[in-house]
Amino acid sequence: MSKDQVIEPNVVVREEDQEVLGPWRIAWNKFKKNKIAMAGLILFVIIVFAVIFGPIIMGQSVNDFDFAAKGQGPSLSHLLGTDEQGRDVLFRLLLGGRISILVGVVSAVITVLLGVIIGGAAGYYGGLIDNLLMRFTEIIYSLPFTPMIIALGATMMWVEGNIKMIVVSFLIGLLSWPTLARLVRGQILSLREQEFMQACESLGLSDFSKIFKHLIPNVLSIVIVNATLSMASAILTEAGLSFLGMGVTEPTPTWGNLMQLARDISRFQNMPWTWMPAGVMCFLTVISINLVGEGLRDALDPKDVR
Amino acid sequence: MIKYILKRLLNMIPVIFIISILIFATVRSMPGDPVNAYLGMGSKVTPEQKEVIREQLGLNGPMHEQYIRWAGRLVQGDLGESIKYKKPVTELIGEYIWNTFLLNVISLILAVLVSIPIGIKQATKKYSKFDNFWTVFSLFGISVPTFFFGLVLVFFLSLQLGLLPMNGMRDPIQAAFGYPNIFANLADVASHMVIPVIVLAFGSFSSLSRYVRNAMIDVINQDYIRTARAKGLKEKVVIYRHAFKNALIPLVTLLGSYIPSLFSGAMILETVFLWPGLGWILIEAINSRDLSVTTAVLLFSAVLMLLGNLLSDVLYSVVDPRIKTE
Amino acid sequence: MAELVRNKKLLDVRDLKVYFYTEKGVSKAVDGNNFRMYENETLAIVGESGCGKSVTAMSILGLVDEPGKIVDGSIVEYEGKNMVGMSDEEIRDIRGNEISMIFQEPMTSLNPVFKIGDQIMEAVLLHEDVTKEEAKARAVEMLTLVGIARPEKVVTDYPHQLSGGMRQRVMIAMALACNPKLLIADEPTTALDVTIQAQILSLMNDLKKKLGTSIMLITHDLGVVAQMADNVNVMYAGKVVETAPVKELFANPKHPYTKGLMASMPSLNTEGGRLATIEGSVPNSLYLPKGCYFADRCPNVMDKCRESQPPTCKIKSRHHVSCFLYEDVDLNKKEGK
Repeated sequence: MSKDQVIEPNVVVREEDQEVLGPWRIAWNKFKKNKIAMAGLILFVIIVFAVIFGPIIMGQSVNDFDFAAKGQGPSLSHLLGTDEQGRDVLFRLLLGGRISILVGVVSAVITVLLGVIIGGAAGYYGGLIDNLLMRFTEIIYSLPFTPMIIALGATMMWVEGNIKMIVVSFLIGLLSWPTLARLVRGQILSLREQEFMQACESLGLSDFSKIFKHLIPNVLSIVIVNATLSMASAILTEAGLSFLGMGVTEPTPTWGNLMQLARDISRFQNMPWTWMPAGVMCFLTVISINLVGEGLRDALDPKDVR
Repeated sequence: MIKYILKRLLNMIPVIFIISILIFATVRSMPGDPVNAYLGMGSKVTPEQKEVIREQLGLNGPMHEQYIRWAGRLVQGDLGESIKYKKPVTELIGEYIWNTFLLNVISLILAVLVSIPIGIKQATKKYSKFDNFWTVFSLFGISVPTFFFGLVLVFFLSLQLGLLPMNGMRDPIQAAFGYPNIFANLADVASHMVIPVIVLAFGSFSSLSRYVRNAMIDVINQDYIRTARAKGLKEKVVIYRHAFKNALIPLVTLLGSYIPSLFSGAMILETVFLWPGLGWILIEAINSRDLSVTTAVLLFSAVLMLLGNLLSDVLYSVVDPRIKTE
Repeated sequence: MAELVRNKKLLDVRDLKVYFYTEKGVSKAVDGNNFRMYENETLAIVGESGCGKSVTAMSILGLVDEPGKIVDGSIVEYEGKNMVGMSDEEIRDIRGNEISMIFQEPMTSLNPVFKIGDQIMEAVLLHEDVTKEEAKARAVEMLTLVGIARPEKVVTDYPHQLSGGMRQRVMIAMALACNPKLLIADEPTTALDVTIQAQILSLMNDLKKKLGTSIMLITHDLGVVAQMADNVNVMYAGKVVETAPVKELFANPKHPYTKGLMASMPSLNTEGGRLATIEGSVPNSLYLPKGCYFADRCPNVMDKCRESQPPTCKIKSRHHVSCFLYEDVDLNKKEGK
């Protein structure tokens, strides 16, 4: 026996003597050890800081045009060049990031709210309510996502500017919740079968405390992981939608409508600095969120002992 | 089994009914007057003539009447006529759908062939360098906007290096003058398919390999795998026979649900590559307010989606001996 | 003192150590086990859950799961060959052929997507030069042997169509299909109903007599030990603390832990009152003390128990105990070994 395994002579260190860590603490410790996930988190934080503070530091406004430098390539005064109207690409890229990430966040919030409420109610109350809600969920789930979101985007063409951003977030959220609702319902159904819920029942706890103190914490890990992943996919959806011209439209920049610039063949070929950075940023943001989501999934999985 | 399928199909009818209302309402609430789109820009027509055309297109009267008329024709298999192409929508879809299918089926086959062995190996060497590499690689695939990846490939491979055609399905000049033989025709289409197939296969590979990996990890920890090892079976037999046959259950289910999307997938990508498929005509139709085409394509995709769910449930009961559908 | 005439030695385990290398540290699941097994005998390994008895069983066939490893220097000698450090191919020849294993959970130990017959035939086809028809005939024969009615039908069944007891019979049939010399049974009846337990145990006893298979029985149930075993190893915290023939052990338990186990077993003679318990719990295998692992719970604990590991004392022929209490009566010392 090597010496370092012996803590102290004559002392048996029992499990009870060790520091008892809460589940969240354990998850965080696991997450911290996951280098790939931590890299994702750091990347995401950097991007968020850049899009929030970058435009402030650059001190421009959306309507700043540099008439002397129209359609110029990257240079010291315009790090990523300018577009045909003489707008600074980097500035618009960072502004666009704000909108794209915000759309992701808002859509994810809507997805989570609808998913948890509908799935939770169906699983918890069962019977007729479950039946009706799940029928409804099935219908929304059966709507073909991409064509439907494109069509809905087209019906909302008349909305303009920043309100369109909110509209797009709602559309994405409204079509995305069924997956989460099904997961939450399934989880709650299996929790209800477990003994601790029967114990709650026999103790006569109210619906409120049963739902909020016992069920929600147990479905929280599913919800957290799903929220991150749906945020990532909402950013991608917004990008696709705006790329087709059916999402957020000019003059409000988003990564999607910045990439739309590539649909003009001469710009696509001759001014790649106008559209390529938006795609790269979109990719980096989504991958960083996905890395965090993966890390959370592993960290919150009690079965995964690494 | 047949009874089960019939029952499921019967259950589908009310769902399709509600979905058709949702789709119809969505499409009809698009801004812009389709009659103007029908007439084209700058045409001078009296309001009376406009009303006649409106009636011809079935766009007169209140919304619910329009729906009833549309649904009535739909039941008889009539999806209406395209404003833009001036031909029946069924004919139009029949023409374009095979292009979409061609693109998707080749990409999916490629993705399946590559993702299964890689996913299995990842699972057997969990957290190894090999596993980490492919985990990150597949994360790339689900994180990159497909159309952007397509654009970048076109930018470098077609524009900068001139290796591959930029878009379309055939070279317009060659196609106009006729191909010397069928192989030239095939080669032309194939060269146009390279980039879209890479993009699509990369995406499918990414989600599939992750799926295979996770399904295999679940199975490898099961007691019966230990039993198989205790019998003295080779590790290869344990993994590829005992474990994989179990992992195949969720995988086949997933692939079942993919099959219908072979006819409707990759909508945005088709627009990028000007690939004459279903997604391309959908977006064209939306832009030109070709309402009957838009409604038809949406409904068609929804029905495919429902059939996909049914197919995956049926396949599930076929591959898993524990499930009996009686 | 003359040794009793014993059968041929089958398995000789010396200084077996199995460590689990986790992030929290090295967990010593099995820490220096020594025991022998002879042909035609049933050896029971008994102890609380987590004492390393299952890991011992797994390590014999090299089936310890990651992050567990058999530490270099451990010796598991089967018919004179050390199985530790054997090539994969060599050890696969032994698995399922000369040494087979059945597990605690019959419900999950059979592959759900293969037919029962195919799962039994697989091992036969692997280890013996037989045709498919012969292998199938063997499968039917084995199922008959383990007392399954209508074996011709059951070979085409899937595991989910059978009950837990039936599945454990199938597992036994599968394990014995190649006529192994040793059957390792890891808590084979724990997951079963009491009546089914008794049936399975008597089936195993019958088969042992019929086929001459030795059995290594892993259990926490002293009742099962009394019914089945010829010899018993008592394990505590990764070590064998006492080993003796079954009658000797029950009549004359020496180690304080064994005594505690005996006292905690209900019997018809104990009227009323509470069953005895052993105070405390097994030490965490990550932080083992330097002295005797049982010291903290031992009613007879002495100062030296906390200082160093106890010696193995010979009480009688084939009765050994690792405890300071018996240093004076140690026959090893008296015999001058």
